[in-house]
Amino acid sequence: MKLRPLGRLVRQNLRRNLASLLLSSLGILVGIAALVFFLALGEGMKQIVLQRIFVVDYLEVVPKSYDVGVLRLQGISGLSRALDDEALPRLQRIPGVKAVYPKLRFAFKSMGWVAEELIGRSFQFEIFGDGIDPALVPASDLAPGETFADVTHCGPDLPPCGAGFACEQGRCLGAVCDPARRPASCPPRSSCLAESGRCEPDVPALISPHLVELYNGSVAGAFKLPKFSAETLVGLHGTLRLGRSFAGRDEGRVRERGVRVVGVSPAAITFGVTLPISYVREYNGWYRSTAGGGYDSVLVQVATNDQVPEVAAAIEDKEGRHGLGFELAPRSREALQAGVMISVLTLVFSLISLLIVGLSAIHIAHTFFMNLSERRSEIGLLRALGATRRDVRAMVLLESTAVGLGGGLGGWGLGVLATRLADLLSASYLPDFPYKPETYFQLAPAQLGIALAVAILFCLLGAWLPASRAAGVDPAVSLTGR
Amino acid sequence: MIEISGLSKSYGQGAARREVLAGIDLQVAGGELVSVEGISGCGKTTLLNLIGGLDRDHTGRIVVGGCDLGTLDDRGLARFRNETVGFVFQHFYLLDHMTCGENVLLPSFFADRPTPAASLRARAQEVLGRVGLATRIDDLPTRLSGGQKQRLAIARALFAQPRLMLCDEPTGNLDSATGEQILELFRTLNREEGLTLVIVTHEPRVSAVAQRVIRMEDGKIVAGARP
Repeated sequence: MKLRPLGRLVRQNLRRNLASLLLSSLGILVGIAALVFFLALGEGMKQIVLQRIFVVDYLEVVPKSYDVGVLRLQGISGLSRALDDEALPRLQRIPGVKAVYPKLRFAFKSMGWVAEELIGRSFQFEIFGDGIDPALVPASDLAPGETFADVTHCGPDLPPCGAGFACEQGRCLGAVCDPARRPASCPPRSSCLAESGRCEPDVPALISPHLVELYNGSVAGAFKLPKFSAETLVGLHGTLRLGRSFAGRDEGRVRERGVRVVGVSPAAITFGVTLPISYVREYNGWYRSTAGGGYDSVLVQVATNDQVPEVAAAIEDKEGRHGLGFELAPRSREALQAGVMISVLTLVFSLISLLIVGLSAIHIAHTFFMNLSERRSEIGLLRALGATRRDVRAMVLLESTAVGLGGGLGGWGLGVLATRLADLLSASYLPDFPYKPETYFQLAPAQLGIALAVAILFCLLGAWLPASRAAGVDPAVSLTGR
Repeated sequence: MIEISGLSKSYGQGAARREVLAGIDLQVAGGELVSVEGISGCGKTTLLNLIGGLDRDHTGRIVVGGCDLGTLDDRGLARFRNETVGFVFQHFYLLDHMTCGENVLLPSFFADRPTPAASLRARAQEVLGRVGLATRIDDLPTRLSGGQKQRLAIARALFAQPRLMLCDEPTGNLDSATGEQILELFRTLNREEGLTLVIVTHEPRVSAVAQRVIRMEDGKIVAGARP
C-alpha cells in the first residue's frame, strides 16, 4: 500500500475516533509533560549548580592531606607532593586538561577598609584573599576599560606606569601626597600610601559573584542593608591593611595598599578579594620568609564536562602514569557530588515520567483493542478489497504514531507551560535566596525530540499487539462468519 | 474463468473435525452468470470465500482467471482480490464515515499502480452512474436506502474492473422489489460487460436470472457442476 492512500485512510480513521483517541492520549500527554518538566529542571539545575555555584569544569587541586586523630593535616613535608612549578606541567599533561592556573592564599593577617561611598558610612572588616593567574579571568568578567594584570613593578622591559606616574626604584610612584587627608589628592585609580607618602596605582581586585549573591540573598535582607549588583560594585575603592587583624596583635609591619574592584568573577575567592598572583607572592614574601616556590592550590581547567571524572581520578592517583597523588579541594569534590546527585535525581524523575507514559501505553493498547474489535468487519472488508496483513498492521501503527505525535506535542506544550508557571510562582511567592534564578529550567530542542520519540515509541509499543491481532483478522470469518 | 478440482475444506481437528466441502469439481466459463443454491450450512459461502481468495486453507486446486490460488502468498492473494475479483455481501459493509465516492474508491487505496486523483474521481463517478447513484457521490451511505446501499457496494466491487464478481446473498437484506432491481443490475452487467457472476443464494428468484444453477448438499455439488 502506498504511503499517500495509507495516510488518507489513517486520517479518516483518526477523525472518526477522535474523541476516544484524545482520551486515551491524555496519559501520554501528562507523562510527556512530566518528562519535559523534569528533563528541563535537571538541565536547569545543572546549569545553576555547576556553572554558578560549583564550577565543575575547574577542579581545584590541593596537596594531599592526612588525618591524624581529629586533626586534618595538609601538605606535610616528605609525605605530600608539593604543588610547585614542577607540578604544574605534570598536571597539564593529564589528558583532558586544558590549562592549569596556580593560586596563592594570603599568608598574613589583613583587614579591609571601605569609605562611606558604599553603604553611607565607612567600615572595616577582617579580610581573606588570594592571588590567581590573570589568564584565568576572561575579559567578560571585567568592567569596560579595567585590567586585571600583574604590574607590581616597572622597568625597561615592563609596561609603562601610566599618566601621572614615574618608574622609581622599580615601582610606579606618583605625586607626593598627604595620607591623612580625605579625600586624598591622588588621581583616579590610585591611592596615597603612608609607606611612601606618594600616590601609587591601586591594586586591581576581583570579588566573587557568590559573595554578591550571598550578601544580597541573606545579609542585606537580614540587616536591612542595600542590595548591590555586580555593576555597582565595580570601581569600588578600598584599603587593604596587610599584617593587621581584629584578632591578636599586628603581624610585623603593617602596610597599606589601595585596592580597586575591577570585576566580578567566578574565579575569585568566595569570601574575600582576589588579586593578581604576583602581588600576593610579593606580600607573602614580606610576612613569610619561607613562602617561595609552592602554591596553595592549582585550578585545573578540564576541556569538557565529560572528562572531569577521569581528570579527577588522574589527579588523585599516586601510583598511576602521572604519579601525582594530589587531592581535590572540598569545593571541587562537592561539585562532582552535586553533578552526580543532580544526574541521579533527573534520572529518577525521568523514570517516574516514563512510568506514567508506560502506563498510558497500556491504556493505548486497551483503546486500540476495543477500537479494532469494533472495526473487525471493516478490516475484513479492507482485506477483501486488496489490503495485505502488512497494510493493516501499518495502518494501525500509523494511527498510533499519530496519537503519539499528538500526545508528544501536546505534552511538550503542557510541560513548557508548567515550567513557565513554576518560574512565575517562584518569582511571585518565594522570598529571595542566594542564587535564586530567574528560571529553574533549561529547555532545549533535544528535549522536544526526546519527548516526541518517547511518546511515539510508547504508543507504538501499546498498539503493537492490537495491530498484530488486526493484521491476523480472517476476512472470511469477519465478513461471512465462515 | 473458474476451474476447481478435488476441493475439500474442513474445520476443527480430531473428533470435532467437520468437513464442509468434500471433493468439489466445478467449472465456470467467462461471462457466465451462475447461482449457487443449497440449504444453510451446505458449504455455499465457504466455496465462495475460497474462490475469492478470502479463505485459503484447503486441499485441491482452485484456478481463477488462470491464476492458481494455492501458489499465492498473502501479498499475491491480496493483489488477486484487488484486481480480479469484486465482492458483494449481504450486509453491504460500507464505511459510514466515508462518502459514497470515497467508499467506491477504497480498492484504489490498495492498487499497485498509482492513479491520478482526477482519474479516480472520474472513475468513481462513472461506476456510481452505472448503478444509478451518480448524484450521490458526496453523500454519506447513512443517507441511502437499503437498495441504494447495495448498489453502492456493487459500484465499489466494479471500481477495479474485475473479471469476476462474487456475491453472497446480495438480496438477502432487501425487499422483493429492491431485490429485483439489484438482480436486474447483475443481469445487465453480465450481458453488457461480459462480467462473470457467481451468486450464492437460497432465493429461487435469484436462480431464475442465472444461466446455470449449481446445487449443493452436504459439502458436495449435486447438480450444475459443468456448463
